[in-house]
Amino acid sequence: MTGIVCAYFKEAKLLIEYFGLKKRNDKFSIYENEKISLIISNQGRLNSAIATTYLLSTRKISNIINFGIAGSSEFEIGEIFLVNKINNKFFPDILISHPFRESEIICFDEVVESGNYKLVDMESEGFFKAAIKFLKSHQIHLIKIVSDNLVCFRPSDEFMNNLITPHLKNIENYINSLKEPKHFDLKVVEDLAKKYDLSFSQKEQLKNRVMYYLLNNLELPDIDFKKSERKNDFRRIMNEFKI
Amino acid sequence: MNLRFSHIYVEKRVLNDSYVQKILTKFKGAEIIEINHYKDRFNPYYQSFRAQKQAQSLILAKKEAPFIYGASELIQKQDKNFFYTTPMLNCIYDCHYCFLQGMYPSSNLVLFVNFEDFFDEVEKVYKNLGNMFLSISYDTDILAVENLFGVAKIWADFVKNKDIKLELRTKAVNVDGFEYQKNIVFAFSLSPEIVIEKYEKYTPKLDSRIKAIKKVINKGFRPVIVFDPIIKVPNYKKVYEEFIKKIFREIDYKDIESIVYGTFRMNSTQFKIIKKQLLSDIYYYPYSVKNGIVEYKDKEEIIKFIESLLPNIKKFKV
Repeated sequence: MTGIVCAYFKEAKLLIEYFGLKKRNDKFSIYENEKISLIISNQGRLNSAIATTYLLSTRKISNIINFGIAGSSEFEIGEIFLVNKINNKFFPDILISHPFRESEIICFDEVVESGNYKLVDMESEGFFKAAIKFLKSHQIHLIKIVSDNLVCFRPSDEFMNNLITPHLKNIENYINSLKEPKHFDLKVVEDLAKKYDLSFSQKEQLKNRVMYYLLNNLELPDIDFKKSERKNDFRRIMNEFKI
Repeated sequence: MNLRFSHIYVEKRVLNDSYVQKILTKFKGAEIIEINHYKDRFNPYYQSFRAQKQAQSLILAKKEAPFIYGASELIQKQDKNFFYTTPMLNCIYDCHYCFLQGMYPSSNLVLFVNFEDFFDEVEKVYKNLGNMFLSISYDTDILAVENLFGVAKIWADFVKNKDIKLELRTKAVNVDGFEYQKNIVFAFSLSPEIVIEKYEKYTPKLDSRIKAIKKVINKGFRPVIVFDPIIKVPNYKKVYEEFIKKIFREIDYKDIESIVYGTFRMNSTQFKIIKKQLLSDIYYYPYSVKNGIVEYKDKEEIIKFIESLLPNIKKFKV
């Protein structure tokens, strides 16, 4: 599942509609379908960190995106960016090809109305610092659209619509290209451990053996003898796995 | 799509270095990201060594002292005054058995560009001892990226006319740029094709490596051949017998300086770290663990078998 953290409903609204997300009855404003879970954090790094932590603590999320608007003194309004550096010290790992330009971002506690900055926002650092407690840096993504050239304003729905809509398809493609971790089916270990009442340590040894077989594409032995004494049963099982 | 070096992180203090500028011109489409210190990018715990191997980034940085390290007793047997240095951290190859996976938090390639600082330190130690054996591919395969960075050649030029033996341990085949120099020791790591295919991702095939060995022999070098680690693949006796016979059918052992060999072994802490990240059957084999080292229970038998296949030249068991 992919998580999305937006500061404002206005930033999230078009994603909610585009992906057909449904509101959940939760402590936070959360909108979900079977693939995406979106949370509204409110403004600021602390709020973003809290919402990110909540989402990652309550859902099985393998990739998380901070999506929102950002100010810039350098880029044009409407340009979209994937962030590769936050506050000169945090680095999301960009390991897949993508259709966006990349940029650094500086995260501030106040609205920035002057200076030379590629991108500025008020959430990125809090989001990233929370996310690294749960995920690796290649699973953490920040997508920002330039909304202003360091001017404080209240965006209208129409403005947000014009800003975000052209990028929705690329955002969808990006989410679809994110990898889910690979898992091996170890049901056979669970079944044997249960049937022959194996100890934790025996189960771990059996798991290693089964993994060795699976990774070598070897056919797993068919084990189905009558349960007797645990130690003997375990020895008998392990003898079936010849290395 | 190969995304290797699509991102290049450069320490601000070396950004204007002429060598750095030369490197950057080779990667025109790359994102160049300025950093304060390479450790800011390389050290954080929240990276995935494994995931980064799919799209390694390059980090250009300045190394601070120490610039050279003494080697363990085990390696000193090979040569007196053995030292190693780390002009680069990590490797573009992806060998399942490599200890670097358990040693570093990141698999991004760090290239130190302050060659003169390394040379000053080596010069000091060398002047004191009178001779040295120096490995520059201890934490990397430096020849694997020779066409991009030319680091081995820079070092080869530095040791010219000095009593410093420079060891280039490698699986790579980029040897064309080297003219005969008596103090360069090419040490080629060789494995059976089945091991290369399964466990040595991105490395050249066995036949290409043999060809590279022949090339350096023709230039007058006496290379070292390294069979390390020996991996106990299914039917390993048959596999290694055919492999070693092939090697010495194609290469005259009299042209070889020595053979280094050893079975797979690893520090148990590194083993555990790697097992958590890498899905490879190497980490699911039932080994023995003695004194914090993971190794084959029948290591002695394997070694004895391998020794029975080796020609009668200088050998080092590791």
